[in-house]
Amino acid sequence: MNIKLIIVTAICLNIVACGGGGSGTSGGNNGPYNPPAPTPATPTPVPTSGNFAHILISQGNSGICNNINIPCVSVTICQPGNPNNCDTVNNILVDTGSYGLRVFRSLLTNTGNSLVTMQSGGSSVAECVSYADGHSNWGPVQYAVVNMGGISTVESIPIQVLSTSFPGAQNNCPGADSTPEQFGLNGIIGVGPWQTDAGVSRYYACNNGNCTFLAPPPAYVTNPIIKFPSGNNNGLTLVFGSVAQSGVTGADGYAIFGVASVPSNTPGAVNVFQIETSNNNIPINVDSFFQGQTYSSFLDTGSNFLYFDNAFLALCPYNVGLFCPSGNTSETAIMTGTNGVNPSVANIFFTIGNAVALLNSGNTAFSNIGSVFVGINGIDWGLPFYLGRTTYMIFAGESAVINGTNYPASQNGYWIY
Amino acid sequence: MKKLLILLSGILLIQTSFAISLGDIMNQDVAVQMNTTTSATKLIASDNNSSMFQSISTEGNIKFLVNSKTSRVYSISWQEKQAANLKEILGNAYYSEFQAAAKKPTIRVPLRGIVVDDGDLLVSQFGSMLSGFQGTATARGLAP
Repeated sequence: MNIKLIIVTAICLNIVACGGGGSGTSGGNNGPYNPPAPTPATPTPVPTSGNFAHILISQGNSGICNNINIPCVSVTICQPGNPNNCDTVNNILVDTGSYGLRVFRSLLTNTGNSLVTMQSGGSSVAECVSYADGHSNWGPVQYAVVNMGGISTVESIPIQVLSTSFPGAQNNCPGADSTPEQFGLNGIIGVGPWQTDAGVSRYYACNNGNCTFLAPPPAYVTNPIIKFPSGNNNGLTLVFGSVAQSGVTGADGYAIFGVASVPSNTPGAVNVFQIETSNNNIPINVDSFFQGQTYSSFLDTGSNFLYFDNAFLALCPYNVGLFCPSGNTSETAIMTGTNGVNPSVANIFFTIGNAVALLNSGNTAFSNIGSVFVGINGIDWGLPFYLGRTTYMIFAGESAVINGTNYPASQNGYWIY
Repeated sequence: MKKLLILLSGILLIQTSFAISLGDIMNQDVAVQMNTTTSATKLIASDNNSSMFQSISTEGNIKFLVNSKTSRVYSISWQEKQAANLKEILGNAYYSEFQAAAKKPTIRVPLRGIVVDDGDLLVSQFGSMLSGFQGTATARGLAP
């Protein structure tokens, strides 16, 4: 999780040592480099209604949730039936690109021995979640009551308790991280549009480390919000204040539970996009027309930057994929799709800045860092998309009435912004 | 009889946990062996240098580029619901090479992507549960 930051830092130092670099860098060879002071963020206004959790962007420490553009929350995990036996764990990634809660066992100092492991045919159920960067999560699926911002699930739900001490990791989950430090997070709360991780994760039935593939498990690891009380469980509203083009530090935002149930999570004039299903049944948001081409695209708070399939701007030195235009460059994409019935079209105005200069600023939250990643076959609207916006998501199988229009339950849900 | 049992057990192994890795032999016969009720593998293109096989299943699709002279797989690309099992795709030898090179990846996007290029082996993968996973692995030394 920290390697990219290290690479970028090295690039920045090299540029400074050579006396070059883009806007925002200075110093040359005349003395030690003194990075500019970070710019404090203007706090995002506290929602005036509804139930919500406070999101902190990259405000962790010791390598945990302190990479650039990483939004994290605190989550409380309680023993079912015993609300006095709980653990509150901070620095958990708010991830609209995955489904369900995953938290390291080592942080469950109170509840660790109290949570019941899911069983299948006399075997313990475990899960392996592999990430594209080679990291993996391994551990048993256990039942817990999950609380965010004072709101609890109305019943216990399956979560993944991460532990490579749970036998079977080596043979069934290559790359499984043993500690939060290795993973760079204390956990992940997957709040994407699907209700569970069914079909996108691997489950196993394990006996003393002998694990066999299990499909389907008795139940799937579940997005906790879907099990919140009525009025809080049909979707998720994410609010983030604007971020200066030079970036800020200490940025925050709010996760308001539900959509269109209270004023704070009710959209005004909005663009509604029903999330489509691609050929291989992977939910991809609607098309985005950009640079003369139409791409599949999706919204993902767990992606730290904006990612594109083509290098439409100058790349930074050493070709790590980040864009380094000489200054801020304004771009427009057009998102097209349907709201479920009628066509829906929206312009997405965004800016790409010089990543080296920005990352050299000492700031930790940016709305204007972009990168090429050849082969993604689309556009990944990562966290920068969310900054300065209120974005609403109706979960798959849930509905909402917005401005008098009913958006009925759909296979993959809706994105609204 | 013993040889027949070994042959049958080999086929059974292929059919129950089939994995073609970089450097493995791939041809029409192997493709037929790969076919199951949930996946179909077939030759989709070829020329004097390379052949391309595609395996389509409920999990997504995988393409294999094969050096026509050696019949060995030199590149694998995938688009699947889950992150690739790189140990399976790369095979033991190349997975060790990948692990060494991955300590200093060319690009790492936290959780979402990685590019590793040590000059011989190029591995790239990007994605999430939401978007699915796309990737490619190429052993340059095996290419035509």
